[in-house]
Amino acid sequence: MVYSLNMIFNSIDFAIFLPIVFILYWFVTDKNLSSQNFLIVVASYIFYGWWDWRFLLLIIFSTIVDFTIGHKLKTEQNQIKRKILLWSSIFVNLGFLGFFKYYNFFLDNFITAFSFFGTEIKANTLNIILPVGISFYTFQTLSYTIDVYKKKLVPSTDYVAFSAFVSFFPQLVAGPIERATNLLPQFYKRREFAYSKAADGMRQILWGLFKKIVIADNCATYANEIFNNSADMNGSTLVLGAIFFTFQIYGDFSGYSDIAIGTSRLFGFNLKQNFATPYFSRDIGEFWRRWHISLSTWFRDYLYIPIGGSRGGTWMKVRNTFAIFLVSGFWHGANWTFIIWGALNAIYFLPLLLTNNNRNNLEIVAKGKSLPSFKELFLILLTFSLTVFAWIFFRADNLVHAISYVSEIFSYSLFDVPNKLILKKSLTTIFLIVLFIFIEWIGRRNLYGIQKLFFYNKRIYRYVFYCLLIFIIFWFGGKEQQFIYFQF
Amino acid sequence: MNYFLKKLLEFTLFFISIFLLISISINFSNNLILKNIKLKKNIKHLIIGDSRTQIFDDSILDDCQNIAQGSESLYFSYLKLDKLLKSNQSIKNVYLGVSYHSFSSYFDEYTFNSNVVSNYFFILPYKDKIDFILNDDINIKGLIKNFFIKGVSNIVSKKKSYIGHSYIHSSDRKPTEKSIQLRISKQFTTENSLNYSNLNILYFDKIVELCSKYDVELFILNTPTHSLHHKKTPKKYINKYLDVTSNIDNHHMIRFENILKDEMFLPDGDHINKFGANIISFKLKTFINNE
Repeated sequence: MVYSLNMIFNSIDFAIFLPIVFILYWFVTDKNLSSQNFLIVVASYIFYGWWDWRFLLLIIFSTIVDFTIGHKLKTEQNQIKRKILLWSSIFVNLGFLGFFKYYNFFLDNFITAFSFFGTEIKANTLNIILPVGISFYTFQTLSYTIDVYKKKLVPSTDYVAFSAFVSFFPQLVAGPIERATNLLPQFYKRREFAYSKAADGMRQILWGLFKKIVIADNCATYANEIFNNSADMNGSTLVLGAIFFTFQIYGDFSGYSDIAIGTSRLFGFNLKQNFATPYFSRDIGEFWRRWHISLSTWFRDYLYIPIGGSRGGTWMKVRNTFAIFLVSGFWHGANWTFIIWGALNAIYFLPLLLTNNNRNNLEIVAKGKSLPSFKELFLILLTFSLTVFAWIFFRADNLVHAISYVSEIFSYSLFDVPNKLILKKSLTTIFLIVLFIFIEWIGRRNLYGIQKLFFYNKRIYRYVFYCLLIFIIFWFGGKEQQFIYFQF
Repeated sequence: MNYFLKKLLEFTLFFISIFLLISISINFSNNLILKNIKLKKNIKHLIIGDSRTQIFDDSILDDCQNIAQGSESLYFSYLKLDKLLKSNQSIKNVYLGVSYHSFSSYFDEYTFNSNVVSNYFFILPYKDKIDFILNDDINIKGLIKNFFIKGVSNIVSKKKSYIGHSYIHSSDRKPTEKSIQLRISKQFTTENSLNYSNLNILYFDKIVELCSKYDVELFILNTPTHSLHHKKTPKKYINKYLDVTSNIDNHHMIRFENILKDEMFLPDGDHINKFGANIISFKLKTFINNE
């Protein structure tokens, strides 16, 4: 457990906060839907304000703007005025996001570009604090306005329910990015407590904590050590560092999603699956159907399809594919490394799209079998290697760092023995990763790794397994790290 | 809801039961091991103390075992000796590493460090165990974690977390005035208004009594330090040292503090490296042989 000022999921603060909200929700406000929604809003604002109360002003402003615009869109029939309303919402939401997240990036690049042509521009960057989770709730509220504009969704008339939808604390700071069409109607209906749902939620929270504390935090130690000292490491150690980061980011982000989804289930809500064992994908197309599903589908529905999708000629396909991946990269952060990461994924994906092979692997790998075939295993390893390579750019401090990292990997030192000290220190973590892959493989058909593990066995086996997981979390938990996706 | 809460309670109780069962088993097994803990066969000379004392290489000393351990306070040394002298009656001489820093209150920070406490947790009396668990300065999560790790390790491995062993520092860096000053500031300047470690002073006297009880000769080892380190050591700590050890006769005071002048032997000013360890271990061997 982490003692911190931030109410992150693996903190003591959250361990106290969650049961209090749970008890109030089901025992005090359970008779009345409005008071239940009101409690969610209050709890969510406390949760969010725990980071910095000033951030609350942004989220409240965003809520008021989108609620009002949604309301006006309902009555407005004039198409031009409707468009103006839609673009107002987009302007306000992306304006905040652009200012807080990208202002300094654009300014720096603007100055650099002009200095390249011999013109010196004097402008000071601002010391801007990025509000936690702004990229997530901005996209969530945007989906509401766009869906109302497209008349796919009836605008909300209940301000409290709408506020609860925007600020719902389990998924507020790092997703999943829920569509208004899925989540908002759940705030209109009375939630009934269901034992199976709550128990499933608890199980998913446990698995999320395992992924975050055991896998991600342990991998982070070695990934940081290797990336921070990459100039002194040989190629094979750098590969090891990239693999550690690959599991760190997966454990970190999918762990967060599991805890978020599990917590929501405790309150009677259903959030969409955000990760579906992406590292078992057989091609990059499949990987992107399984990785950060809520963001990928958001970009697909609100960007890729509106600009033409996979229709049109080759040039259109190339343009649209690059557009979605570059924007996706840029969404992650104001750094060229993220843009290159996006471009790399576009390059991986294009051959599949152009040869109409991008939707080959829609079913889970080795369906109905225990082990994959050699061909499947080869494809999984190939896709995994491509992903690992792309993550180097994602993790590197800047492009120079990324290029020097990659250059060293493609040198003769790749065939040297990895740094023995790091290898020795990380043996336990490597063992834990193997255990993790094994459990994920067994549970690859389910919503999360341990959903059905020992589910049909006697209760005692399940309890022993859960105790073992808790012991592993406690015993092998790595040094606490902030959730990576909070910075996005 | 009631069914959910019932199941949650059921699992919590199950978890606590498993936790307690494992904890009690580990504690019980460790207590069994402790009752008859044996050192190397026919040990006559036992060296005990902290990291400065660890440098004595017991492989070149006859019938000798070095059980010193880094950051070990005299309180823990006493508890170790209390168990070991009972079950190892061949021990005739105990060489206890005590230097000027031993009576500084900075040592108490190590005594109450959860990583250090957990090494000795199983040799603590029950009352002290409870006191440590309830102590505000202790990181309880770290203590519980180490309780399991070290407890199991003590059962399955020959090495025990509380025993300790020779440790040769291989560093060949040279100390600077700044690095020595840093060590001095750490060891003798504390924010605590209490300048001396009352705990170590109390347990020094208890070790003297204990050795007398078991008819074991106690020698006090003051290990070498760099001349600058010695010069910068506040006088009041040297006086305190002389005061506390005043009841030990000169013959039992082994004063090695000034015998290694060359800075190549003392990489940080107060710990000896492998070159110095070799010299000093032979010095001790000569001393023992002359006894």
